[in-house]
Amino acid sequence: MMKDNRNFNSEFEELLKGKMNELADSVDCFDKITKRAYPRQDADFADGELTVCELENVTGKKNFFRFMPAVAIMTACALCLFFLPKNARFVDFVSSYFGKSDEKAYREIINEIKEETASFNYKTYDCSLEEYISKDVIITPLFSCPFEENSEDELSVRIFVKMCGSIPTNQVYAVVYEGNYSDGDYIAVAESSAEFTEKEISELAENVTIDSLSLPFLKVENELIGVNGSNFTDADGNDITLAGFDFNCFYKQNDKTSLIIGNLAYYSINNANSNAHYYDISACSNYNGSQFESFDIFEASEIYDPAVMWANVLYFNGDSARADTELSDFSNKKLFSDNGVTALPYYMSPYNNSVYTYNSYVNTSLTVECNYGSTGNISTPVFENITERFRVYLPDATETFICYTADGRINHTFNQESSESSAVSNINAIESNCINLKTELDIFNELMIALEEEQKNASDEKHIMELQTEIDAVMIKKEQTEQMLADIQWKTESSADSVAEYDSTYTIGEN
Amino acid sequence: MTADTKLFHGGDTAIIFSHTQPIADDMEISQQCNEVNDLIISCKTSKESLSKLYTMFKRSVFAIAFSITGDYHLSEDCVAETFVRLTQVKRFSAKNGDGRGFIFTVARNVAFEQRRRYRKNCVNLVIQSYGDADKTVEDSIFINQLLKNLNDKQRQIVVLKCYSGLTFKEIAVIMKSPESTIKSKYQKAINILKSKAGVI
Repeated sequence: MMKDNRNFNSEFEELLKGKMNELADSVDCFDKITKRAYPRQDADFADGELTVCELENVTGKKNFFRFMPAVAIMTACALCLFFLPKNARFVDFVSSYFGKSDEKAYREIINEIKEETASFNYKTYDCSLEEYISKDVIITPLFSCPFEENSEDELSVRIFVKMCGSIPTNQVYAVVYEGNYSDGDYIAVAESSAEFTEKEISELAENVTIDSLSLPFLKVENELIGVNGSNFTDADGNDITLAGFDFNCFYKQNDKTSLIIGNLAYYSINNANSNAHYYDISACSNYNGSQFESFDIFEASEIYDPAVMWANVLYFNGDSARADTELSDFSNKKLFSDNGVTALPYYMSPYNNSVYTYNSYVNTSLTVECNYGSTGNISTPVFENITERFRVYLPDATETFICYTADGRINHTFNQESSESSAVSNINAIESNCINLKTELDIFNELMIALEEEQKNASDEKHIMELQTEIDAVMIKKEQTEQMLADIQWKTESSADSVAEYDSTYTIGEN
Repeated sequence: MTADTKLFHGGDTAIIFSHTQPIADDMEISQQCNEVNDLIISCKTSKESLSKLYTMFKRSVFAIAFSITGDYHLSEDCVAETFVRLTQVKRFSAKNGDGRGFIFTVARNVAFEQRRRYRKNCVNLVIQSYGDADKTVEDSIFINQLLKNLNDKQRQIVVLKCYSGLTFKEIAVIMKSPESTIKSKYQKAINILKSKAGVI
């Protein structure tokens, strides 16, 4: 079906292209271009550049009044902007006296967010609205994006997740804002159906510790995900790139709270013209709010129901901001087996064990290239706590896979022919990082020497102070780099021990 | 806890940095890029270079301009203005520059400028100019009627993909958006166009 769709797309593209080419071929303006690009030196008045407007003012009299309309308009705009700011704050203020009931509902949510975030532990995340709409499932695994699309403005979303210790709950708020975030100045808000009281939070925190949990991996169905040489394939035989991550959450529904340990797997079709992705969630719970029991397994539809997730989704004027249609790039498709608990395919974690900080390398998608298969492009999670657990699954442990981001800054080669080579690769990664940091340190040292030399020769006090500021800044960066290098060297020593242990305990590819 | 669980993974440890060797197709594309870059540098003084650029990119530049302005004659002016500006480029590095992307970016900027300047004359697509010959008018109306169902960004992405032959990655650079966003918008736009054209 995907191949038929691709044929339709390319036929349609050819039709459009043909029409536009016919139109473009009728354009012939090369002479006009060359006349302007390469003007002759002895141009006469017939080709001159004087326009009618310029000739009208040939007397040279200045016309002050021609600016009056523009000045008047600018003054009026300034007055409007200064005295009548029509933003959420203004509407909120007016609505508190003259507001309709829908606007009151919006204000109530705003107040609730303020009180909740002041009284409880919340984790906040920011991303663009566009991104949240298109890949909501891998941004907030148990929530779809509640907001409708707005293609005119560059809008952002801030998501507030209530925490119980280090485990998130499914009490969530989301707000849409423009430009820089400003408390209370929102274009739209959404609140989840679930709410946890203070008593519930403290009871959960007492009874459940993360150490008592272990994460079962669920088997991806063989009929649904196949293997074609060095690539996974979907049920239609298309080469795909398969990825996923695990997550946990205190999940409250119908007054029953469970501790969900979830696994999300998703794939994109290689060399596709669209960004369509297919996902499945399978989750287990062994805690029913009061005691541990044997595992219950949840399917995606039981824990991911857009209709009940969000209680209210409102614009600042009280109108509904709820999305009418499903705009996400992600569609649900069965991937997990009902048959129980076994291991997932072999995988690599491209964003784990890296010396780079979150902001410097995480991109919105990853390209995965196999040296004997096809190349795929897969969307990646946005937020750090999920990104760290993000994995790309690999069907064949003997091939070379390369993962890189669109801007090419990060290249990870994964080659796992035997447990010995994996040990060597691990050490090489660390050594490579050390070399980069040592080079940086050399640069910082040279820079400091040059700045100090310049400071010695400077006579102006102001210039000396400026140089001192620069020297201090370089010193801070140098210290940070030294610390990073020390951390890596410590990791080298401890990983050398653990690699030897790994080698003896596990065999690659074992299920 | 009574459930028997198994924790297994095998991929976290082997991460090394490497450089990929360019394959033959990449080298050919790289040569074409270099040729375009050299033409941009030399078109300042060489009419022949400008002529080559004009032949190579007229269609794409017109398509980009038409998708933004929706007006045949205005798009023609945009084409002229774009190539004139190429002869006036002061800073363009032949080694690191992306010539195609540069030309399309200039074309977009020119089209937006022209549209802003002549906005009062283009209130709606119906009264815009469509060219002179019957075929031209027919094609203009067909494309305009289709493209008006898309928003600005969707229109540009469709044109850049279908007519200019750019990859999604290159379009992402021109439009300063993530590649996945571009793909997503493109698919939505194509679906809208197909439904309006009666294909689906």
